[in-house]
Amino acid sequence: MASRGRRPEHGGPPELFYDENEARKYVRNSRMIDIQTRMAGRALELLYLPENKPCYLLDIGCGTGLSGSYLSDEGHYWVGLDISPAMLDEAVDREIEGDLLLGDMGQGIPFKPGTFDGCISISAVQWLCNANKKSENPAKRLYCFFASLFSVLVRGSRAVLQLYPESSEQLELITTQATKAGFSGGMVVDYPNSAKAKKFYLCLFSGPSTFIPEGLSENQDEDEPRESVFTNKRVPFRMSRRGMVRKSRAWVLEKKEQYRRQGREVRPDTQYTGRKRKPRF
Amino acid sequence: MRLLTHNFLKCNEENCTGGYPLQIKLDDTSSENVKILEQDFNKEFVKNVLSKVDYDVLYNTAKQFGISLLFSYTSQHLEDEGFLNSIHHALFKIHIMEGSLICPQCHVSFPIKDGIPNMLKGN
Repeated sequence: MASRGRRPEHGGPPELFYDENEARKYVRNSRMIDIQTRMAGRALELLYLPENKPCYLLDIGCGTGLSGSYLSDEGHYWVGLDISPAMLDEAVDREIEGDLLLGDMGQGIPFKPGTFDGCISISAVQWLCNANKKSENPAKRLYCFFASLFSVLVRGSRAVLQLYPESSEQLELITTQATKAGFSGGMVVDYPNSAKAKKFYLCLFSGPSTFIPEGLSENQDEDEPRESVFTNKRVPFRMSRRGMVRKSRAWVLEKKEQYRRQGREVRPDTQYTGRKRKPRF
Repeated sequence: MRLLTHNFLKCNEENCTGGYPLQIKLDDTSSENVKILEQDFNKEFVKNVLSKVDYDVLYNTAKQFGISLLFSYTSQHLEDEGFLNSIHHALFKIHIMEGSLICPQCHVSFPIKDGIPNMLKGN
């Protein structure tokens, strides 16, 4: 596993990180198996599929098929997509029930529209947020992924993506691209107060808006909201800029926030942001 | 890869529209390019999936593997166990192990190794 404090995505692309050694360790690590299986269970729960009906599901970043095995145990049929040949080879050795594909989710999901009754992803989507080649643009890859995912899902079905976001900016980048692609939905956070147990599930709906499930917590009577909702509703431009003098500091900060939401690179906000410059400017 | 998945797979290359269905070309140099594996028959799932698949594509693909399905079916056939079993056999039990998938539009070839198609672009 990656050294403490260092995120694996910073070291390179996933197909290099998950080589034969890493894949072998991964699939034999009982702690990993336990965590991945439990997250797969929670993701399937959040999918809210109709009871006792076997469905055709997509598993993004299926890896060694740990999450897929859980889907099979629940009676579903699934197709898994992963970018690491070594991880897929381990899945083949485990004789999993689903069909496997070697592919890059950032290049799009190569299926006909309305193929899958639902989609889960365990610990994979955050890999899209780091560019590994100069030609790669994370926002573009994220959009390509979400737009094709929206297409291949049966209308009105869901995608539940468990991920490890590095920062709130990264989370915003991801949710912006998902919304652009046509999804509505929100983030469910389980155990928000535990650094170790905290888990993020991005729940996306490809149809009309429905309710967001409550995040799990040890403390049942917490008032803190643990879910956030985002929709396709556009805020009229004048409303969001109401009361702001053009070129004032507040206006500059709001404009920078808008650019960040679009996934563009923006300089961090400091005490000098929007300060009055000397007349020669 | 099963024929069920093949029935939904399409070409993902840039500017390729209508890259469906992908043509299956088996690797004749390989000793075991197709496998037939048992799978439990689930009547409800077969009926549901039958309404989603492109039946003409399934009929033609199954023919390639020596399976002759009914050319077309009616709602009466949906209650016929024999018909559903033949569909189940074609969709679930045939596994393509070695070969390639060729796009009918842009002619890009996606190799299949050990049952796993390589759908990476720019291959």
